[in-house]
Amino acid sequence: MKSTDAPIADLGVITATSTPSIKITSIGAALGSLRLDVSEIATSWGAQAARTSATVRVCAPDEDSLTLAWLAGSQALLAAGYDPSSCSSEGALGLWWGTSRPPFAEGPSHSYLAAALSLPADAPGMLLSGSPHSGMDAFLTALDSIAAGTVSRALVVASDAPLPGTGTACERFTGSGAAAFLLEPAGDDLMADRADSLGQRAQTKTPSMPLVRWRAGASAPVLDRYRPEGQMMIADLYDQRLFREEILLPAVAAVGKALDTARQASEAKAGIDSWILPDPDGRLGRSAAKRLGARRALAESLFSTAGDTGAAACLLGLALVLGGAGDDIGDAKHITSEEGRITPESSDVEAIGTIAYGGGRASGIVVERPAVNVEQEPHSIPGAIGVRAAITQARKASYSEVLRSRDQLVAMSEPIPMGLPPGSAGFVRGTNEVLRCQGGQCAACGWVSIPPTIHPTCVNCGGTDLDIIALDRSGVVHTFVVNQTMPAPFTAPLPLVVIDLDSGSRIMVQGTADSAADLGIGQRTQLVLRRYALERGAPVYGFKACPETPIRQHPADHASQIPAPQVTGDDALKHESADTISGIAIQAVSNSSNEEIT
Amino acid sequence: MAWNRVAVVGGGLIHFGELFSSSYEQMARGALDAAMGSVDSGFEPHQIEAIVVATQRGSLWGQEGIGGNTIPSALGISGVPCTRVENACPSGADAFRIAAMIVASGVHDLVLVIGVEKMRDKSTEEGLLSRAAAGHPVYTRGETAPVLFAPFATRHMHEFGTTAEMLAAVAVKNHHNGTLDPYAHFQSEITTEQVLASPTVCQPLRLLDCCPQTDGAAAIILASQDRARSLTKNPVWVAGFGMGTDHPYLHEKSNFTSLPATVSAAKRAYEMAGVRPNEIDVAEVHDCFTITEILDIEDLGFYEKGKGGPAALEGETAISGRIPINPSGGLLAKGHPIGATGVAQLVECWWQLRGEAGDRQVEINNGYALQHNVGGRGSGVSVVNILTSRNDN
Repeated sequence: MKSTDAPIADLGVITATSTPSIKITSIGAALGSLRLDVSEIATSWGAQAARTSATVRVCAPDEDSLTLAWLAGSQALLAAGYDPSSCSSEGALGLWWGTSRPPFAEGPSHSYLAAALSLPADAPGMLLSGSPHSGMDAFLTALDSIAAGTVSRALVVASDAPLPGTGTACERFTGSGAAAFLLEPAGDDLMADRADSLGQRAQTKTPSMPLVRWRAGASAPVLDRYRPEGQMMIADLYDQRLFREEILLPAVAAVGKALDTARQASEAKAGIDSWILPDPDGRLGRSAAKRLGARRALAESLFSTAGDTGAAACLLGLALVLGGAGDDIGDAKHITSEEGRITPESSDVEAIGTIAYGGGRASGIVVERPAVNVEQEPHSIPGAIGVRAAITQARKASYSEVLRSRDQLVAMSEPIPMGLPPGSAGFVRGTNEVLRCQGGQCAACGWVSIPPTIHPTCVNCGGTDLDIIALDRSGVVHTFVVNQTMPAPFTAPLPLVVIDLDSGSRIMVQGTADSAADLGIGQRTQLVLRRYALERGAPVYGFKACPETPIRQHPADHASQIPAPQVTGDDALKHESADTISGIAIQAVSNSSNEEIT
Repeated sequence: MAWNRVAVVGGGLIHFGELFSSSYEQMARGALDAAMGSVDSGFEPHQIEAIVVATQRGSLWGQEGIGGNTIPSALGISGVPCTRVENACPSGADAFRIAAMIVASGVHDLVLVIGVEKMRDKSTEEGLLSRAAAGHPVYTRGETAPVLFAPFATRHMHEFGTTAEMLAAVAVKNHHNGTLDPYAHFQSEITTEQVLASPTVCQPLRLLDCCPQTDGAAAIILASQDRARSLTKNPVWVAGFGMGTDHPYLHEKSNFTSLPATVSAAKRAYEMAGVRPNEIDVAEVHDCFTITEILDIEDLGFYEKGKGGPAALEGETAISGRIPINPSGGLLAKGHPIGATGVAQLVECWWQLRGEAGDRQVEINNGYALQHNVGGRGSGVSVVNILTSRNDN
């Protein structure tokens, strides 16, 4: 008979399994570029201002789960040496994307992201959705695909931009963000790392990457936070105490204990050193940590800075910790559990567990990495610098700006339809060449005419033999304007920028709104994917210009850790300037549009 | 060149402005009446053998697209051949060029060129400006009309030191000229300070750097040499015309300080007319924005590249200046009903060459007047027409 002490959803005994030896080759991260003070939400609804310095990170109007996924994914690929301007087939690289908010509820979400990441048309993978557990679903499914030999490399992207109900409690904790990991079989790295952990340091120092080691999961048919068909906003539909005591904490504890037990039973003979745990209300993460015998979880500051980023949350935490951007890492290093576990100081290997929760499911993985003294040698993994930049770069926004950005505050006016219907052939032609950032290079004179579908002949010489190429993503501003006067749904300020790309081509694209104030001729600039519009309900994506924010290659960031992409000649040269992706600009702009006239 | 001489024997326009009480059809008939009234020997609609109508697309709901159908009926001469020309901002100038070629060919002896545009039947947001996306579904998004010219201002300022004050000088001059033109949309003086204090529409262009949205119509009657002699003792002749094109997207420009379509259109027109830029007495040029007039007077050969701004600031382009530019007030003050604009500029040239421009009459020494439009996406279409009062041309 069931004990009355047991949780309603009795999960029984959860057993972790060891994963195939898979290493994390590079990482990437992105957060919504707007930063909102949580206390402002409270006061806007008439509540007493919460005594909190917490903030949430929210998407700008031209950002969404897809653009954040692109930003994080691009960083991870670039850091690993994958050249986005190379059209060469990467062969067995697949894309696994988890988000509760794909840009199309049904539609080409995954193929849009794959195209924007310049993956070849035959790249396998899938979109996982349905709950905030989706990010972990993507990670675990990618592990399975590598284990099955379907792919030799997998890009996992977990991204989300949930839409909280206005005035609900969860609005104060809902953020947006993305994390990306490039995974591949560990191969010989595994052997070197295991030797290290046993104190038998290998003669030759092999790059020691984080390794995924164990996984565990549990599910129960409990109704917690959910979103019915046809609803855009999520709401707190559960009893908070019920959720805490009977659902989230028991599930996380069960999965965590399973993972801990598995590691104890391994040759490491030690439990999990530190945890990254779900924290959907700003308090649950710490409670879950205590249940697992840790004083606190890692990356707590992620939740108080960005909020709960849904499907991205726990993997974003993992990316930040691996990238050395969890500001509480130093503290966590010294946690000694009540059970007298081996602390990281006494081992060459640190075990980090991360558990995702959503939709009645909790799943966790354990990542082992070489323990280092963070004060002397920061954790180094390709992409770490971009990950650290993601959490610091944001622009403070007002609550009303956030509401407008989320389409929760809408002007009472009839939108003016414009452009082609998204279902038209012209749109289909245009979308592919825009997402893939393509031009047509003249075989006779080398000029690149952009974009290909409207250029059957070379702009420069009239030649008809044009090769489709992928464009550079960075260059210099040749000239620009800042449009302040447009009909809805356009919003001012809208820069339009003519850029001389580093490869010599010229292109004109929109600039990000935040870049408007400081635009100047000669400025270094880069292209980032943004949502240009919602056209008759369908998102329209394109690249926008924003100031180049060089993500300097970390000494450990070198491309030799994965097989080099098949680039030749000019493509290889282009890569030198490629490691500069960041979609975040921080200049505040205030400008009002005026009565227009032409 | 083996073509028959073509004369302008009449021309007129209606008062440009926000003509909420007038329909497209009513404006057209008003312009025809004005043109017929200007013919020295009198003129009746049934004398017209063919019509070329210029209408871009303004803000109407579809009937502008069948101008060839609508206009003869509106003018009371249904049955007459009528062709609509749509060629962006030079639509009116191109309609004139095509009508001149029809007369020159000998197919028709009396051809009406009429430009008609309804810009204000829809709200500003729904009219021209709403086409902030055209052509490619993604690459042109946000490119309202000022975006097509403002990047040139940014770059002209950067390369030549052109200043906001120089741009403002164009607006101040043309608004002054507008006060002397009874047909102009705006009839009040403005100051440099007002221009510089006006709100930014599209950085670096301010409100008063931009032309208004205007309703209007204008008409010109072209005649073969023999017919012209019977209709007027003081004909003005078509001396030459030229048209040029360029790539339609801004990123296809090799530079942002010149409009190649204007340069090639002007070269062809000058060659056909056998004149040089310094022989032009007066020019009506396309000043949809202040920067455009500065680009124009350089590209048309009146000033070296980079010298257009200082010339405007020094008053060299005023009615009494070295080369009077836009004595009618230009698009900035007279208005820019697109299809009518070029035709109205040619009416002004006709008046100037006949000495009938009243308070804004310029000094005619060589007997040549030049009319110019440039437009389209990326300013990729330009037409230049040159008229002359010289009977020996």
